[in-house]
Amino acid sequence: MTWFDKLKGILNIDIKTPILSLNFNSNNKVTNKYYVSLERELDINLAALSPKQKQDIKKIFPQILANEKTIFKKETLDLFDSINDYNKNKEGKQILTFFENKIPKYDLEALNASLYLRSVFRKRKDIKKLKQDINTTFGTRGNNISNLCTAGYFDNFLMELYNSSPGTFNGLYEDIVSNKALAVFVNEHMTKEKITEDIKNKLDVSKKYGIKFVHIHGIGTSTVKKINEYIENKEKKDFDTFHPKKILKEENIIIVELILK
Amino acid sequence: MININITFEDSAKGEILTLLDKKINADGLIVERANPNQKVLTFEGEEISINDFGGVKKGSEVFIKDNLISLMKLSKEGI
Repeated sequence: MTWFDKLKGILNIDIKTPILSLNFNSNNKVTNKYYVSLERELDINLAALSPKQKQDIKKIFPQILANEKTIFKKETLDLFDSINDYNKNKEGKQILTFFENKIPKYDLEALNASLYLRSVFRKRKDIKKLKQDINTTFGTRGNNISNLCTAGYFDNFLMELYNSSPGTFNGLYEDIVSNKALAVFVNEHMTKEKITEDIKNKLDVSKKYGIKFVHIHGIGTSTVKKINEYIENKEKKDFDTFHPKKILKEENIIIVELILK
Repeated sequence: MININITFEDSAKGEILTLLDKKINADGLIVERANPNQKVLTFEGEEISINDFGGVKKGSEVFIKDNLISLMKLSKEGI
């Protein structure tokens, strides 16, 4: 007897059509023990079952797991399926292969995750949890890699830099990923003074390698507004040596390039 | 019978752990019900908290973290 036949017996249900998925929830406010959706998902409300029914399901649970191989939290399965699709399309594979053996293995893992995050970001989907996961696993360094990756620095700058001068790349890479050079990623909590300090510090480091610019990045309407105000209200002495140039400005994203005169 | 997806809502986490003969200890980590000193492990060999509980793989009930990096490694394994 299949586990599904046993389950039907436990719940005393009669379903003729095959189901495509089985989902467990636990809702005290609903008395229905189960329902079958139009998408042929059997949804079981564990909170509505009797102790005997739960005990009987517990007995067949090992058989369910043995047959179906995994049980996932719904959102986790959605993410897992998305990752599988991403891997099949081999997005980001070229960039990852390029940096293999050129950057630390730990950074390569962070870059792999960041490339996936970037693919989600480009579809305008929520990346908050993905960013959190990268930060939890790889810390601030992972966060920096994620920001740099989303902003295109790995493909548009670092790859070209390595191809033209591996020596300069090796010297500069560490400063870039530890957030000491190249780009200021503004968030809504940063003060004007912090932005200025960040720009000056990064430019000092970049100059060592003959790089005469710093980019300011911002995402989100309030951050874009903050950066616009910062550039427009800049104190002359802070920006005497720069040409500020907006290279991307949309409602939700801004990139400003400050080029040394 | 063809393979079907088995899922659970966040609301059912605790009940699912009970079905698997597991429970949560005082630190929020998932442990064996019969032996609470034995913490369950992910396929990466790590302890797992109820907050990170994303699923279970068969094969000595290996636990899955609801975390991008863990899921990317799992995807590479090809389950």
